[in-house]
Amino acid sequence: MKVQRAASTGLRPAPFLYGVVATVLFSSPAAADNWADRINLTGFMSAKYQKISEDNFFNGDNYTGIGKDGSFRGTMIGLNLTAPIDERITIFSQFLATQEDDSYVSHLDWGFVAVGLTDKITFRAGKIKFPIGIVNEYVSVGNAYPWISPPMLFYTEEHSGANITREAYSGGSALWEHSWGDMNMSADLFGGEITLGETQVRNMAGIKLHLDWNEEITFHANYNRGIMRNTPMPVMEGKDHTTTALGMRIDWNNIIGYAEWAETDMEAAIMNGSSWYATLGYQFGDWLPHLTYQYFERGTGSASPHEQNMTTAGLRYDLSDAADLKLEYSVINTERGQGLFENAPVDDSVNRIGVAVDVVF
Amino acid sequence: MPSRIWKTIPAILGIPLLLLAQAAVAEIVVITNKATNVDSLSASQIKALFLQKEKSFPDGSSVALADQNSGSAARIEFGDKVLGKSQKKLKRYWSKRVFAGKGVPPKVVGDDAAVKEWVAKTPNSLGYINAEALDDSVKVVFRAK
Repeated sequence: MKVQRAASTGLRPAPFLYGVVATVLFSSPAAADNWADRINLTGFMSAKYQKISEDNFFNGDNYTGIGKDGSFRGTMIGLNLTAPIDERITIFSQFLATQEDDSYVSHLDWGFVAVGLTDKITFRAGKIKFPIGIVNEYVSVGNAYPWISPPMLFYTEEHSGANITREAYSGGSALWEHSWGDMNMSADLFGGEITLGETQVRNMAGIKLHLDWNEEITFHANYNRGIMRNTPMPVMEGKDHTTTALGMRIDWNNIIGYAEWAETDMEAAIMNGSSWYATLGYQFGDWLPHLTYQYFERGTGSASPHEQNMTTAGLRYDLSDAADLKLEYSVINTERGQGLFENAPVDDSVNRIGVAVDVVF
Repeated sequence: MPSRIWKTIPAILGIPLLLLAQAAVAEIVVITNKATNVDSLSASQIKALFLQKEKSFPDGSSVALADQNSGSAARIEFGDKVLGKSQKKLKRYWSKRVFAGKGVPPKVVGDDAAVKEWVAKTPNSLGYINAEALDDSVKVVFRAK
């Protein structure tokens, strides 16, 4: 994983970051004069401690997964830099450092140029966050959602999972956004290529549709399709990779709810899978207790099936408008195969506990 | 006589309570530069502009937004009355936009005096201040009572 992420930028992380910042800040004398007025610099941090009850690793390997000994793996800090070039052109970028084992791995999470063709239509090009799912575009920003991590059986990037989501794609996007009173809608036509592990999805194209009423009730629908190249399994080479997802979110008065379903078709019974989850919570002042049930299956029509579910009770306490403390307890049941465990679990039921602090700044 | 006392006591107690209540619900005025080609805006138009769902005034000119300091009474009042969102919900709204690369929140300019000064010298600007701080250096386009 470390090698893969370092290779994703092709450059050593820190000098690359300094270089981009310096280029943006001092690219012209005018920009250098008033850069503080022009650049928007924000960030976020999530410090997480998690452990499971069995001598195994969940949602990752022995460098990245949640283990029996407990660790702060998954702790991350992000820096977001936005630089308007003129009224129509803006550079958006985000750098992310994540704890894996005992070290932090930093990389360009995403970065692109956005050109406002009209007030409603924006063309974007570069490395863009993969838009599938409700929270994937801000999946690292813990303060923006109720959980310590978004439901792992749905949002995992492990190849042993449902293969629904991705970190970011390289390519272009035409984003249309429109508001009609309190009703907001958008359509994002996107295309390019994405990489996960050793597999690449080329000639990828997709659409994401969004509809919400005053951000109180939100609906999402996504579809994307591409061709798999350089796969570790020769049988997958050149096959189509298709993902369909539907979701909704409620943030109405004190009620918080999420529900998403997705299905991935890779033209191979052993890799086809689906996942869904539902979350319901109620905000009592600064306290948000919530319950989540999530499920995933993959290859259930093959000789190597995986089927797993996870039930989580969680509590978020808002320390301020920009910081929170979270506690979670989960029960992970593995019906078939190993699911997101590194090795097939000894126990049918494995417990997970987690505590986290999230801040945006 | 006793009945008059019972009527007088609430009246005496009520005066300071009424004054306190008026102080707590100060009027917020939404202001623009005097040269802006806009004389009035509706609450929903201001909400769309401040949440950046609309990026231009009705005449098509790009808008430059000014926010007040985080935690200020004016900002909380403006959020509640005009944007219809608590500060907590606004913070999460902007987190979802900013960290997805879909926008940046309005520029934080400062308090009433700083916002008024910035709006007075910035073409096509839009900000909000307490009504008591208003003078003729800026133009009012909306009053939130």
